Amino acid sequence: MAQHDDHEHGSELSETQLRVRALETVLTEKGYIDPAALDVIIEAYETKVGPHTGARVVAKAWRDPGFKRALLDDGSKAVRALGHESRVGDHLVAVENTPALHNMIVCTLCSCYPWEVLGLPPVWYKSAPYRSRAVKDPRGVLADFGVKLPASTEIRVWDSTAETRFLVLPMRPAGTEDWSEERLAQLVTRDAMIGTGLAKRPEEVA
Amino acid sequence: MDGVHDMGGMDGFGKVEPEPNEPAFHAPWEGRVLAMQRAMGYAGAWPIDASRFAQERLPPPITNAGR
Repeated sequence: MAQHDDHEHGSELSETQLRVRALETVLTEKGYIDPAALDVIIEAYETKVGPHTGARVVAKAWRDPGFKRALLDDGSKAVRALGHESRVGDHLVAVENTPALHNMIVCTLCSCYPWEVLGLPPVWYKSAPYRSRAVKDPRGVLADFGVKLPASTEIRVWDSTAETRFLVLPMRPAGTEDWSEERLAQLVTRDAMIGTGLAKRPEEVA
Repeated sequence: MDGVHDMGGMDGFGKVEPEPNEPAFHAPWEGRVLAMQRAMGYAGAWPIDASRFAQERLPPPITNAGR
């Protein structure tokens, strides 16, 4: 466990590290938590919970019109059927990109995010620049990500809440008609499912 | 509220800085804190409303740190 490693090397601990360690000690002594259980939770967020889950959901929707309809109709129900359940019981709404409409998600209030399909939110999603500007200048924010859309494409920004969270269903790249779900999932980036990116082109994954 | 808990449309924060290949945690303590939040939630000792209330009472220098 890393927090013991730095102690053994005798390096100086920052105030934050000291506070976190003190908190863990107190909660352990009071019997609320077990440090070994924390290790398991951390490992889950590092290896099991992440945008690869959402990528499979998107790839399935691209291949299976029935699933796509179910996803757009009731996102929570559709991903629950695949075994992905929201921890806080919020409602998942999937929004579909088309040539005429591009969707982007933000949480101007804090950092609400569809954890069950995307994992931990990236730092920029929680940052002041993104949260403040996504709703006011979405094209400018997209430019920060190197994304430029045709002027004719409408951009719709969805503001998440504790109760309702969003997943962008990006457009399926051309030239992938005979691709398997697994292969298609490689094209689906986290940013494409937030709407700050597009799905990769087939030649990008070779 | 006009601060960090409701930022839609506020000006002056500059560009968004995406981080390619961002790690799940930037320091080990981040993972410990997240795991403690979850574990305390499972223990029924740290419900989301209490967590949110505590966060919103933090003074701006703390809530703005790292954002």
